[in-house]
Amino acid sequence: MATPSTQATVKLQSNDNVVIEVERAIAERSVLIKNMLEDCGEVTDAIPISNVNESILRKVIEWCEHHKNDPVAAENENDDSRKKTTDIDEWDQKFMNVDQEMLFEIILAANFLDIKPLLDTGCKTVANMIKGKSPEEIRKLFNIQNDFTPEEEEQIRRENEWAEDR
Amino acid sequence: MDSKLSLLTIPLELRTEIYGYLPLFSLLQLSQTCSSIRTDLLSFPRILRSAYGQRNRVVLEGPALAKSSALLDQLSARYITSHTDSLTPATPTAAHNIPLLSIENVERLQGDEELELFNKRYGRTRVGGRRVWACEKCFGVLQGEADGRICIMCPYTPWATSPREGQVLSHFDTGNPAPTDYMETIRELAAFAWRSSYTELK
Repeated sequence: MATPSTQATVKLQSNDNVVIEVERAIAERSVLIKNMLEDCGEVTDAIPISNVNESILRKVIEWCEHHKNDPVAAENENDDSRKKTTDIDEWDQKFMNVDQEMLFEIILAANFLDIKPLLDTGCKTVANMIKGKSPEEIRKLFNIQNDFTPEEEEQIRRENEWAEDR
Repeated sequence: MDSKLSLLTIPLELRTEIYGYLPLFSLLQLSQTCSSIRTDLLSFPRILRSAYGQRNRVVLEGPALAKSSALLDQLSARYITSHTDSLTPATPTAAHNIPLLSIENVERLQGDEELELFNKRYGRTRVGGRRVWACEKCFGVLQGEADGRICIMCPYTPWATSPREGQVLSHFDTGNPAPTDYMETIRELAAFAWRSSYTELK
C-alpha cells in the first residue's frame, strides 16, 4: 500500500490535453480521483481525465471548489433519501443555468468522476425542467420526435381515462 | 463526447437517475413523448411504483370489504350528506388490471406546475357524473362535487391540525356533527382496513 501523500495540489489533464492544477482537497471531491490518489500516493504527473474536455473539467472544478467544505455523504446512504426532494440551492441553480448540451456533459462528467452530489444536482435540474410540462412541451424542450404508432397512441389515450365503473 | 448530447443520448443509467426524481404525474407525461422513453419507464416499473404521488392500493375482500363498505356508508351518511356526491378518492377500490402508466394511479400531484397542467388536461373530466379534480392545498387527486377547491381530508386546513367543533361545518357547510367524531370514524375505518386481510397490488 502506498504511503499517504501530503501534496497540496494535483494536476488534472482533460481529454483535449489541457493540464489544470487544483488543490488536492478540491480534486478529492471526486471519489475516482480520491481513490486513485490513495492508491498511488505521491502523483507528480498529470492525471488523465479521459472522458472530460477542458471547459467541462473547469466547470466541474468550479463546483468542487464551491463545495469543498461540504460534508461528504456516507457511502451507504440510502438512495431513496437522496431522491425525496428536487430542491436545489441558489448557487447550484445558477451554476446549472447553462445550455442543455453542457448540462448533460456535466452530468456525464460527474458520473465518470464519481461526484454524487454534483450528479444529483444535474439530474434534479433536468427533472425540474420536465416537471409539470405536457408531453408536447417536453418534446419541444428536448427536441424529441413523436414516433408512436397509432396503436400506441390509442393505448396512451386509454391511459389518460378514468374507469367509469367505480 | 463527439455527438450532441441530449436526454435520449445519455446512458440509460443516467436517464433512470433523472426519472427517479420525478413525481408519477410528470413521469406519465414523459412516457407520452416517445417510444424510447416509454420503453425505459415500462422496463423499470420500480421507478413508477416508488414515484411520489403513486396511489397505494389496498384491496379488501370478503367480510372485510362488506364491513369497510358499511363504515364508508356510515361516514358518508353522517358527515357529507349535503353534497350530491361523496368526496372519495378517485379510485377507492382498486381494479387488478390498471396499467402501470394509467392516470388512475396518480393519488397526489407535486406543486403548482403539476396542478396547473392537471387542471388543463383533466380538469373537465367527469366520471360517472362526478368531477375529477385536485386539491389546491395538498394536491390530492379526487372525484366528487366539492363546493371549494380544498379536499375534505386536506392536512393543510386549520381544522386538520387543531380540530375544533364547528370548523368542519363552516368549511363544508354540511350541518353535520363535529370533526372529532369525523376523525374518529376515519381512524376506525383506517385501522379496520389495516387489520383486515388485504392484497397489495404493488
